[in-house]
Amino acid sequence: MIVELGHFALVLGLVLVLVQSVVPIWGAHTRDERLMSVAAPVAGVQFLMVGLAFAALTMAYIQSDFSVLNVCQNSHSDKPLIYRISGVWGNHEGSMLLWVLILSLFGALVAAFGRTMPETLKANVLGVQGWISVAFLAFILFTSNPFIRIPNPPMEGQDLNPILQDVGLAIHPPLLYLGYVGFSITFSFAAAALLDGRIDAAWARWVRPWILIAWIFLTLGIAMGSYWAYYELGWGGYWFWDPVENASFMPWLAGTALLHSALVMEKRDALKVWTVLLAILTFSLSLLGTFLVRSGVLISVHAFATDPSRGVFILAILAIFIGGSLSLYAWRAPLLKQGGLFAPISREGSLILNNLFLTAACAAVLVGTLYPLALDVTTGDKISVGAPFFNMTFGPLMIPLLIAMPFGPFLAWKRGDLLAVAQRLMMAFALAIVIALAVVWVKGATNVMVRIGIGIAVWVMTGAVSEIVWRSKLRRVPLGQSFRRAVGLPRSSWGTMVAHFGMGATMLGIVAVSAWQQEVITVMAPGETKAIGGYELTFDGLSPSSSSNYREDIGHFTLRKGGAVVADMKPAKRFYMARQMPTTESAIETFWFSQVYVSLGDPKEGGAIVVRAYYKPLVTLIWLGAVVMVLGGLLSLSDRRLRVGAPRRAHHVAAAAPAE
Amino acid sequence: MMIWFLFAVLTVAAALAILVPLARRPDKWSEGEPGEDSKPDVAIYKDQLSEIERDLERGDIEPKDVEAARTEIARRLLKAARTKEEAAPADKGGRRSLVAVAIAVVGVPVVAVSLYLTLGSPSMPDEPLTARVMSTDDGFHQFSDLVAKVEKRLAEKPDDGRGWDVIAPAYMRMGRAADAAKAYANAIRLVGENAPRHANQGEAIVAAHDGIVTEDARKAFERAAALAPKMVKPRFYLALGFGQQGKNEQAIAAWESLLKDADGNEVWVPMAQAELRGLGVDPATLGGSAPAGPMASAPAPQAQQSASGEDLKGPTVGDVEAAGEMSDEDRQAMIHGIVSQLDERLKEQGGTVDEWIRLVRAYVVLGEHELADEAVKRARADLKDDPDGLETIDALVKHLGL
Amino acid sequence: MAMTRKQRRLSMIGGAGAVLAVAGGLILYALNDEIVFFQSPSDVAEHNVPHGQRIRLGGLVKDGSIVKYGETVRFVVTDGGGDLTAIYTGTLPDLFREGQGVVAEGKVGDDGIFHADTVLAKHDENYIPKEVVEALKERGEWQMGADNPKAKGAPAPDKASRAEPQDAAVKLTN
Repeated sequence: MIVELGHFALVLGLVLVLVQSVVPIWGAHTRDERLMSVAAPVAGVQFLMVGLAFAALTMAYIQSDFSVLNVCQNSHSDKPLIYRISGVWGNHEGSMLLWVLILSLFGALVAAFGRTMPETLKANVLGVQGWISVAFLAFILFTSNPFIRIPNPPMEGQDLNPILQDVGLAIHPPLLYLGYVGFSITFSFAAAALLDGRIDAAWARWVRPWILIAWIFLTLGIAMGSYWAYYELGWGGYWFWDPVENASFMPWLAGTALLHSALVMEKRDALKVWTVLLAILTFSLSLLGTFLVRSGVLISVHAFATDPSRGVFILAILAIFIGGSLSLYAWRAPLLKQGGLFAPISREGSLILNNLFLTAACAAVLVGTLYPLALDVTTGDKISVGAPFFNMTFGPLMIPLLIAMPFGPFLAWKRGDLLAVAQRLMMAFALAIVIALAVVWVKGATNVMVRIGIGIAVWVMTGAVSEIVWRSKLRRVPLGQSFRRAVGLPRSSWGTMVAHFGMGATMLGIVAVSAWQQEVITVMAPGETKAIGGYELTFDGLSPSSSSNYREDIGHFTLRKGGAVVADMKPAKRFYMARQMPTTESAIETFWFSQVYVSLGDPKEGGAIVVRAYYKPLVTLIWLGAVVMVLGGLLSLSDRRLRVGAPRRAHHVAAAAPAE
Repeated sequence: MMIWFLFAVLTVAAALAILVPLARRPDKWSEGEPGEDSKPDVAIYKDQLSEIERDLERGDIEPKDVEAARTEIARRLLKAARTKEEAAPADKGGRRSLVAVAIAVVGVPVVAVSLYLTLGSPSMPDEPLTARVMSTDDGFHQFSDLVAKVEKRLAEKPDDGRGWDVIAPAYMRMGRAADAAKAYANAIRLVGENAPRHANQGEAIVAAHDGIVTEDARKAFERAAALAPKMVKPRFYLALGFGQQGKNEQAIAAWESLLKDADGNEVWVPMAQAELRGLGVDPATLGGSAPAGPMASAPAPQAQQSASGEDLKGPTVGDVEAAGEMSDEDRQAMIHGIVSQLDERLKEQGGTVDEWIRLVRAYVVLGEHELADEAVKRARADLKDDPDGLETIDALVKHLGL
Repeated sequence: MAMTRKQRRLSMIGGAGAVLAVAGGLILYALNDEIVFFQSPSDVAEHNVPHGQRIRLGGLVKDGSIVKYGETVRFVVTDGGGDLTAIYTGTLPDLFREGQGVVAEGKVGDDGIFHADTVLAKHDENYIPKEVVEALKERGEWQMGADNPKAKGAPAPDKASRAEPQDAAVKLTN
């Protein structure tokens, strides 16, 4: 009954979202407040309906109800509870349901927290969000229904994939979805504004928190996915330029650009046409990613062509939404009035530069992702576009962006003084050079690119800090006063600094790992010792062990530094009997920001085994940097200004402001 | 009944989400002109105006630009304050609201219920595993416990050929085809070879390779065929393998010889016939005892695949023969399960002539003559626009003596 | 006012154009230079791939062909139509086995042997790289039988999606 209730709720969700996609927009068009006011409650109840459906499916997974085809195909009663739950979104149907759930969640959030928006905008936004929901709910119900039942269900499910039984994998898809589905709401804002014909600085302020929220989740999701690949796949790679990864990285690049261009629009009423386009493009890239991952084209263009029902449906959604919104854009955008003027050297100018490089980098990733597919379809040639392509294109585009990054926040709006800014940044620059030289001297680097890379990374970090230092007038006024000034700075300034600092940290991690990673792949016999990254790794032997569904050989290693034992490491090679599947469990030991990483290869004669050991200097900075970026995003999100505009509170805020 | 009550509750909630806002008194906005401050964008611009001072102090703006910035924002402010929310044109007798009310009261329930009825299965109860294990007591868990025990013993004594012999069909039943193939190989090595073991090993290999008769599988089947030349399974798969390799003549010969030995009621016969048709041979010309196959057309693969996924297919030879390895009870359960899946799907979506034939045949094989009769009736109804199809069904009925 | 409004616009458009041109140039250059074509053993035989050109070789590891000399392994990649002997030194992926799909990156040497520097396999026991599946299909080694529901050709989309994140190849480089 629960299952059928969930199914019915999902159908009801579709019906409600049909209402949501028509009535409020009709109301906004005719300026009928009553019709517009339908939007918020319907969006809320529709979210509850989809939530109920999701809960029902989850329940079916928890109870191993194999009369549900989806559960039967993707679950197994022997799975631990948490992996039965994460199994809900570990498959096509369930993950699409999660997709739609998040889509309606954002609708419901706008309905709940959009008090500060004018009614017509809110009605239009929810209406457009409704269109997207209609498309995807129909997709789920008609081509990927998770609630299909089987009479005479089997007694056991079919999936017990050991690789999927991992905490990292359990939580990163929802985060990723929160991110890239989150950009649906900015798309809805853009389409709504185009429908309404009113796009101004206020619009940018209303849309900015939503960009930030989506960006925060996307950043976290990508970072988690990367860390998961790092420890799970057994060779310590953190980024593969795999199409699935690119699918989430492209919206991130475009979303980051959007975050910055919306700033210009809010402050100066400029870049309107571009910002709206970017909002449309960001979500289009999310849709494209969904198409790539969900339609099966990545698996095989051929398979897609022979069983196209799902792929074609998503392709149609893609075409309708991207084509429709771009046509709307082409029709409406020319009506927009040009906003404030500014000189090329100015805050606006620097943000445009940021946008240029980010979108160019995004285009490079897009080409690298789609080119093999296009070539396969047109000429049948199979090619692989791998890391070398992306290093060649993406890398050079990032370098000028990162060099310019510290300048941006220092430049004044409208017309900036580059020379003055350069003077203020002298300290940071000198510091960056000193640190970079010191690091290179200690670590040793023959490669010029490494020195430049380290220099830029440190420069981004010191540059970010020096903005706050300068703004708080540290050392120019008494310490207490400058502390008060620092605290009094708007949260968004702190957010900028923290996020930029995080970017520098990530870059530092990437450069350090690629420059100084040490790698030993060798056969080790028991008792043998190898040196790696200043540590001595001793192989003590293998011991077999077994658990309910796998046997494993655990390697025992002792890690010493200067003779003293610093860690015991136990990487393992597991063999899941049910699936006849070997997996590699790496052992990772963290020292400050660096890690020693050990995983096992094939066993050899006489108790020896192939060992892969890596020393990864500063590797954790790659992900910690992302976490710091997220913190920056959260700080910006908490900025007072993003809450201004609530009719009832406006007076209070306006009165409070001058007191600052 | 309970479930319909709950459906009703949900539907009412959905309708209320539309009705409540419509029923609310025209809210505050329409009551008199709102104060300027209460307009959201006005509040934002005022805030921006006050921000200029702070920007100046922070150096976010050059002093000489301050005045220009003030004017710029003031202009936005004025513009925002001037654009009055256009009053809604009088809603003639609330006609629009009326339409919305109608959508809520009539549209939502009607569309939701009719859509649900085409997609859902309201009469099916939940079947959580715990409840089923308790109620049936045939105990799948007993079965998997048993498997686990044997596995454990084999882990300790991997030379126990009998153990491998026992566990192989169990693996096959659990869908662990690759394991089953290995188990059969071990059994052959340790206990000795015989035709069924080789044939089953081959079948397991095929199942593990998504239906491809690989080189290894072919060797196994050839060995089985050498040991028992009349055994159907190896010959069947060998024929399939020839077809997959594009050795059409050998495939045709193999299928024809298989069909010659058949009495026409075997479950695999329609499939063999379909394969032959796929190879461009009309099985009807074979003579012998094989029944006239459906003349219509070879089953369209796309049509079958698009239905609703691979797993709703009718029973295949592989399935049924896999069932041959099980205890009688298990076999019956498995076959019934697969057949009823097919039945359910055909009931809901209709199907091709071949699918109906498969269903009717399956019921006859299972001895469910009443259900077979009923299936024939439904097949006739479903195929009423297809005279060829009807003819085929009639021929089938005659042949089977229903 | 150092610049007129028009000049400003032009300078910005010019700057943007320059960045885009650089990006476009980089992409084109990289597409020419950094892309590796996928070939099957029979392609190599038929097309006469120039020795020394970097390719990705895909097929099945021929049964009984794996010979290990310490860290170096020699195996034969087959697609039914042609065989090519490959040599690789280093640690192999977990799922490198006889009869399984494999993709190796490297060059055909003057000795006619494929010298791989990277060997890829994926984390799924039934996984065969998609290029291999398609190459095999072309050779008729693989058939999606209409009446053979178990023949899926390639992992079905839902399965693939399940394999989505772990799909990232297990990659070993010397």
